[in-house]
Amino acid sequence: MSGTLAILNVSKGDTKLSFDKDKPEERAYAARVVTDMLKRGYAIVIEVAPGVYERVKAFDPNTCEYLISDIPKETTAAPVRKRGRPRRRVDAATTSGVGVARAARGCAGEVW
Amino acid sequence: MNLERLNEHDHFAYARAVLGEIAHISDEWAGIPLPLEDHALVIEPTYPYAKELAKLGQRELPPEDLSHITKRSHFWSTHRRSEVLIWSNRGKIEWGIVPGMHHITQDLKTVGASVVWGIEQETNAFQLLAEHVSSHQFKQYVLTGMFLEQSRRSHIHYVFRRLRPTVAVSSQGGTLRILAALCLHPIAYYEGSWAGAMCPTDDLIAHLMLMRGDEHMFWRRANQHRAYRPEAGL
Repeated sequence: MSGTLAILNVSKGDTKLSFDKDKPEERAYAARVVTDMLKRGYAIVIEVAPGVYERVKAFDPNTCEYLISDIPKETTAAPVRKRGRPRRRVDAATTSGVGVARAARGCAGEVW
Repeated sequence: MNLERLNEHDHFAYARAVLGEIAHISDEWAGIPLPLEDHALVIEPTYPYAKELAKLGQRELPPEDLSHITKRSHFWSTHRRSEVLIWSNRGKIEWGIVPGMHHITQDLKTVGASVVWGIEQETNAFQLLAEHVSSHQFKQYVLTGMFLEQSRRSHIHYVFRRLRPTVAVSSQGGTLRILAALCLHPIAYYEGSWAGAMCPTDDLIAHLMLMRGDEHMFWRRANQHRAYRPEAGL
């Protein structure tokens, strides 16, 4: 399975990025676009398990992996304290997702 | 009917294609909204061309001197179905009403703004939606323009509706209660209408994905309308 990311687009409906490992040029382009999208505040939501979706927090362009929030499993060992929430890596080539641009809200209804 | 034939009859197909090319060259991954005469665009403020595009559809009104007016308060009157405004005019308290939006006006403006969308974009959006919802939900959407989904995190039920705000419903305690109608359009929307810059199903996919991926952000980014307000579209 090669992972794709659909970016919602005004002119095309959606444009697809491919992370196919057999197509390094497409993969490099997709990595550049995803990095830029996250910088610009796009929301990227990926399917991490059937029917389970998570928003991408960061992206590693070198390995083409999404970084998402991780909920640590309960263990008996004392947790190692680190700054920030723990993150889990998801290979972009094995998952599909959707990119959404920053939103303009809508129908304000405010007269003042 | 093939795509070329459809585009022959779509007078905005060329403008859409050109803006799409410009967007591609300038690395605007979500495209550039199409400005329309008499349909002002409300654009996400950090979007690169926000000010320029917003000006295109607006009517220039002569500036009015309102320095002697001070806003005091405003509230929604369900009885009058209007916003009641209170202000002081040179120290004297005055009030007035602004009628709430009328459904048919909003609907007609939506029809007017619909010229910016193409069949091709909406078809692509349909295919994308079909990849991310169950066949039952997709059938509901095609037949009724809406479908339901319950959040895995909050257990709130959402009614995703085409060209209308998404309705969040709580079923706690065995009774259904509308929490809010959530209105949100990626990049931009046409003022006074239900129309976003993107085709209707793309707007709906944005709602669905934000709800699934980051429900908190979905609520934060959307305008939250109470059920009794006309903007809720209920």
